[in-house]
Amino acid sequence: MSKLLRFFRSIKLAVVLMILIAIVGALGTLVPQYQDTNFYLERYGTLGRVILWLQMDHYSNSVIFATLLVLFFLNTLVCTLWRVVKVWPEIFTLKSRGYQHSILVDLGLDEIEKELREKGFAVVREGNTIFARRGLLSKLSPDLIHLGILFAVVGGLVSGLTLHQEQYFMSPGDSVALNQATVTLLEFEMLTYPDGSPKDWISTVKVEDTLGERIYKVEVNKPADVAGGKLYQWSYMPDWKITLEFPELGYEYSGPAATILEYGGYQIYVYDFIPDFKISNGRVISASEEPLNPAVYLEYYQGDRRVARHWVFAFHEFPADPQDFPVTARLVSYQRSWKTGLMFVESRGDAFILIGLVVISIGSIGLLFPKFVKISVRETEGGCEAAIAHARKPKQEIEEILRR
Amino acid sequence: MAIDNTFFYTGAFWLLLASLAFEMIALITRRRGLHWVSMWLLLAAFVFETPGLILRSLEMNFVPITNTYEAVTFVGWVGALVIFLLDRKYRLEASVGFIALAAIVAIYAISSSPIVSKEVRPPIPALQSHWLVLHVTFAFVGEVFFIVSFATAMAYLFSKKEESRQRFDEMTYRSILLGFPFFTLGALVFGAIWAKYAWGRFWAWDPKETWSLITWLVYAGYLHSRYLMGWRGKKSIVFAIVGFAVMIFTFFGVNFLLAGLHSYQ
Repeated sequence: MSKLLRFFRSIKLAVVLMILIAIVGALGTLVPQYQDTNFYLERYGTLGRVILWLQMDHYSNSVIFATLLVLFFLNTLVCTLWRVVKVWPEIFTLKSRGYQHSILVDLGLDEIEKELREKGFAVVREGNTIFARRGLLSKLSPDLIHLGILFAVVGGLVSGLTLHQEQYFMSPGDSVALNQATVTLLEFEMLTYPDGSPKDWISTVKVEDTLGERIYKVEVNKPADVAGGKLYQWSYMPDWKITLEFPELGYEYSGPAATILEYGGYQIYVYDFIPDFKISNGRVISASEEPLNPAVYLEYYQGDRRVARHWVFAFHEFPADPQDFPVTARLVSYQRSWKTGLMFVESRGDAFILIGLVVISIGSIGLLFPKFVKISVRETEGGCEAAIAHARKPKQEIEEILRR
Repeated sequence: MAIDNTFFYTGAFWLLLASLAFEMIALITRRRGLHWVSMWLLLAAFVFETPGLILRSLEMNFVPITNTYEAVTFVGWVGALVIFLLDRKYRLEASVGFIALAAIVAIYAISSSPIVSKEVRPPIPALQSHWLVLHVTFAFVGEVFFIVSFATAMAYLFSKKEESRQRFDEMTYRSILLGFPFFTLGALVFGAIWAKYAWGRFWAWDPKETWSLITWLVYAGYLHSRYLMGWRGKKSIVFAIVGFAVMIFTFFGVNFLLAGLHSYQ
């Protein structure tokens, strides 16, 4: 047991783990994450197999990385506990422990007490002896940072295990059920600067639950507390409504793209609307969100058999395949509205993480405070004898402290 | 002729260059007076850039730290003040001043690159957060101290006198000890809080996040090795230089080479 504790208390282990975490993390960022298995095999060949075997395609969740983080957590935990048990009593106890290398000082005890107080020391005088201390926060800072890390890691773990996250694209009037509440989108605003660039996205939602009905505005960077979690303004997407006319069938369709129509003995598959049709590297893409070259792709089926396909453009004719197919289509109109992208996040570890971050912050600020010094001065017949604790160069440091 | 913010940024750059030139001459001629001139020119660069920052802030109605041009000029502004103050406190050697200034000037010079837009653009919604301001400013202050630590580390390697080497070693340690808390607060703590508000999670292993953590781990490793393992001298200096290389990659490399939330791709 003591061997195990010594192993986890080792500062060498800490440094080695820091280096290993850094190396694995760095390698992980060089590999595209969460791609299909074939992607790695085709792009990297044999190396791809190694990447997959080492789970570097999802390094942050890999066994290797998780093991390193667990070891780092245990190392930090044991070191921190050891310091709290073994070192803190010495830091907090003024009187007895840790003093080393006493030297004679050419000053009276009263003068020294005054000097120390003026230099920001907390001073206790008992008879002919003075005990003084300064920079306690500085000394505790590394421990606070370690404690903060432990809280943050535990919080991260709890958060990861209890995370409930859902994303929704909604148009005004759409509702979703979140826990015991119903959230309805009332309005989605896209604010822009004078140059047209995005300024803000704001979703106004109505929340109905057992407490009644409330209205919230959800903005980027300003999530709303809803249904025991937080609702974020996360994204947005265009929502196109199109009108297709089939003159030979005497039929007109108005509504969203990506649908299946049944008319005149045909099943007509209407694929996504492309506002700005372009072919790039052999693939159809939309070059922008603006309707500069609107198009929609149709496939006609009779039973299971595809009998024709047709790219229908708004601004020019394009023949169907086969060209003698008796049905034609026209893209008569297209209208864009926007759907808001809302994300609901619920997790239990956030408070732990926040506490951890606050403690890390206090520890970090503490590092900027003056170095910890503990000094005792005893009046003897030959003069005052000063001793200092935790000093690398005791004599020099005592002289510096008591120098006027 | 209307004076816009770039006038002050450009003027500050010339003052930084002049400061660097004087420091170089001070280094060659070993005349302390020229180092003194260099440091006051550095302060002048800081003062001259300030109205540019204010004008740009007013134009975009936000602190100008949201693109590459603003980031590198902001580092220059902070760097000028930090190096000047460190010189007042520790009387930096001309060699240290020269290397630190060369690094700051090199970073600032990126603002003149044709691929870096000087255009004033208001921040996109995700960037409109006080946490972003804290995140970036604190991280940059920390990084400037790391630049100084790199300068003192290089001065150590070029120095032959044992006494000077000890001083450079100690200065490297002190710079990192000062930079580390700022970097911790800025890059990790405030960054995580901003991420929570903007994207609903404190940490997502985005390449920039991972590399910031790597930078932090390297400097934490440096401090542990020095404080608890007693590393001094060359081993410690090499550690500091590795830290600087990682920091520079985190600052620039990640944005241009790796895809992610902080990517410019």
